[in-house]
Amino acid sequence: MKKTIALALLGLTVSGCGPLVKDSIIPRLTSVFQVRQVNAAVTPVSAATFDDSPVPLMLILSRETGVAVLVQPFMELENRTIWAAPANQTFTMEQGIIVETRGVDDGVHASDLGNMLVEMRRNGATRRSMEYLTGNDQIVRIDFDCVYSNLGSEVLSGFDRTISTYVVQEDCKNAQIQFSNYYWIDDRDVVRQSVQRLGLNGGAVETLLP
Amino acid sequence: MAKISNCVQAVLICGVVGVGSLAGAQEVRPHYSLYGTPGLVEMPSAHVAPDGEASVSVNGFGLQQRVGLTFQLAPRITGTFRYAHFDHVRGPGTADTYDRSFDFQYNVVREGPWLPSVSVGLRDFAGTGLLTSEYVVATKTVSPDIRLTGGLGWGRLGTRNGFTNPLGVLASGFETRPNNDFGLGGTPSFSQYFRGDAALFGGVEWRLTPKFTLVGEYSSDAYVRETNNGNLDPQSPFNFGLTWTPSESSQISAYSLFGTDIGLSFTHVFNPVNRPNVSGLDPAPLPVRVRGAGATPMVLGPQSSESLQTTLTQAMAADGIELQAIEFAGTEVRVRYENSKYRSEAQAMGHVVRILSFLLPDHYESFVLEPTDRGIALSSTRLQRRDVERFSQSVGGTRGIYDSAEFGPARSADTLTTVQTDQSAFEWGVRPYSDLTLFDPTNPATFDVGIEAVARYEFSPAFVLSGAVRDRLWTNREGKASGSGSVLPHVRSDIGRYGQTGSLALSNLAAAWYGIPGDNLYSRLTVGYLEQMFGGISAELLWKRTDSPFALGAELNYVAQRDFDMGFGFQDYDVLTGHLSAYWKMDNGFHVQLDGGRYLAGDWGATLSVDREFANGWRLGAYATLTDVPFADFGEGSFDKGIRVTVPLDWTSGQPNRTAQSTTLNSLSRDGGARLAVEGRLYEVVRKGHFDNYENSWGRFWK
Repeated sequence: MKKTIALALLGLTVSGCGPLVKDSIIPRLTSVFQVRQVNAAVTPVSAATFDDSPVPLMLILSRETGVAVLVQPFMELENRTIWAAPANQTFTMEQGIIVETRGVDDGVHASDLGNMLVEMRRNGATRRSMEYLTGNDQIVRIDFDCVYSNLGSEVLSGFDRTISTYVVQEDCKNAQIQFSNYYWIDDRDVVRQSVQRLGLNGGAVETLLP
Repeated sequence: MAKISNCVQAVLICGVVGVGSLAGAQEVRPHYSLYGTPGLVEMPSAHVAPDGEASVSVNGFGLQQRVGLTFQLAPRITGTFRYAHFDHVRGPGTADTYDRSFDFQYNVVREGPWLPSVSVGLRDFAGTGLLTSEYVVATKTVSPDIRLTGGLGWGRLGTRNGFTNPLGVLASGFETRPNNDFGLGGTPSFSQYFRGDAALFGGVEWRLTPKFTLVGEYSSDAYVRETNNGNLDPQSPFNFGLTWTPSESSQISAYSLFGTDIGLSFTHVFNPVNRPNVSGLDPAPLPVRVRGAGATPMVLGPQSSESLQTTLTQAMAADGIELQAIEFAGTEVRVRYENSKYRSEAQAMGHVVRILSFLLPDHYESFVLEPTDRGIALSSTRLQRRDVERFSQSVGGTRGIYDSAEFGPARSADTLTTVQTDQSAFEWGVRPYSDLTLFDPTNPATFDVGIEAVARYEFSPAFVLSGAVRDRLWTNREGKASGSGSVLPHVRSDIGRYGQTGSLALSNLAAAWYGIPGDNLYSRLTVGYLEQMFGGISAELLWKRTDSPFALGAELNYVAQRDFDMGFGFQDYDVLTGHLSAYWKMDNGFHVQLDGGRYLAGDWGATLSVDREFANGWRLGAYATLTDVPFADFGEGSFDKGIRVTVPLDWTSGQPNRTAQSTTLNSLSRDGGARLAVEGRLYEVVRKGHFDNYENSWGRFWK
């Protein structure tokens, strides 16, 4: 947890998280239509950052680059939420599970959860499908058999908050690839922290919802 | 001014291409020889690289230095272009020479549990013959770390301990190899292939660790020519080497050659299908707004068509797409737009769909998208909004939206409302330029650098006046400033006399008008200073259905040769030139083009081109032109031919970009088989907007 936050702060500092990039259509549309949108560029991040924000904020840290971004809800679509970062990135999540990314190198093009949301609460198993965009502009679909294990309780602390969670480990594999994801889930079934693999080449992120 | 950044990227591309990763490779890569091809030290192997893989190698020993480009053109076909420097080619004290050569290898048998990989190859099959040889070779991986190779060679590879050609049992003519009379070079030496004495060669690759490999071989190349003229005194048929593989994409080797020499080799391997940025860094697009799904639209859609038009124009402009015309017809919206940002028309289409779904009121049920280029509508794609909503975020959605789309020709423009934009009709820019020619017969690299000013005035999207002025600041081509000795009209061989350093030169200044005179028929008329050396008028017609892999074209030009100062004047030479063209887009990305007609020097003939285009925009190809100009009159190389590579800039940068950097390796100084270099030929303009083309990159639709 401390490592996550420290890296996130470092990432925010290094990446600058400055003004919205002009080539991003979302901020440009924001200016066109004057839609209310909180500027998520925050340096440094503190408890007040989250306390003062009129919308939920989430930290997403790239494990590969160590760069973190603050994202905020951009659109709700049935049971999915599209979280947008100022630097041209979106993360679509279903109950805290990332199902699609855009503007992210080595991201996931589309995925489904199978029966994951049920199985992860009862140490079950399900099959998940993920699609990736290859370097030759082709979509490849890979099916994974995933097994869920409850690792017990853990209290998250940081940003003047303490959150009681239980930790679920997700082990997914097929003939060529295997990986593990971790989810810290609170008593309202909200994923407060996670480590999730995204891309075909193993790109992974950590998420934190204080 | 946007073109300036593109230009800078183009200059950088050579340095960036090398970043290509090889992630995903599962097997041990081929070992690359001193010839830059899969092999041992100098002997070839039957190993086949993954489809599409390319290598750039720099190799050499005391007597010869070679630069090689090897491509796995198809799963079984390997092609190599090599540019070599020979020290004292005719013996100590004689002049050095440069030589270009081509190799071809076909993999006859795939390696299996018991069978070795077997390949047949030709080295230097159409050059000056300095390296000519043929071979049949087998390679077997006997353990994860040991690979054995053995083969039978002819030509150079049949010169050590050679024996009577076993192919003599088929015909006695195989037993004698005709003299090596290549004349001006450049023609296939069919009469020599697999003839004369044969000899055995072989060797082993032993991978000591994942990063170090030992290579040893018995060479069947006795270096007869070099020994006879006193350049070399080989002491041993055995060559050895140690190869360091610091990364999946590079090999560095040191060799002991002939018992007397040391050789060094560096090979960089990359595959166009592996993008440096795996899935690209394109900015996130707008999401699709699913009606009735609790989506909170950013904008409560204005209801009048005028307001909607304005809204859409702004939104699409923010995404690099120009809305040119629109029609609201009941529950259907039709948009005609020009994509100036995304290489993939499918990706641009996906972005337009997202914007329409995001902004349009809920009662619009279907979208019709008509991409344009240079003012001509290229095709039509109709999508149901419910399909857009259903497939935008689902696994299988990319395939699903493709299957649900209705493709066809663009509809009539009569019911469209033209969108007035506030974009200026006049654009200009200033940028640095570089003009590089590689592997010329007399110089490995010649180039100009300077400043270029460009300007463009758009009377309408289909009628544009554009031009460029260059100031050459530095060149190493000054030695070519004198007139050529060609016996043909100097339509290309005097190129070194154009645009002298220190004076402004008008590169081009021409008006181009595009149109659609009939169903599936496209037209272009270009008038002015068309290119560096010629000005005049160029007219072209192209027939192509939106769903057809075939196309036919006709081009007629009347042009005059420009003055050397590249001002407004012309010389006395003028010519009527033109071609009939046939185009065929084959499966698996191969494109074949045949052009027949009259060339700039007045010669008649035909050009055959074969290119392989990857879905990500990479393109590798070769062409050859044969005309009625005798080989002797053409000069070195005998006839015009070359290979070409196109690298899309979005592949290297990961950012959306429609620009590509193309390089053709040929001789620019020959007059036979030369075509007018007019910009904006129809086939490349039209096909990009036809769905038989953009389906290749449909994977980017939801990107």
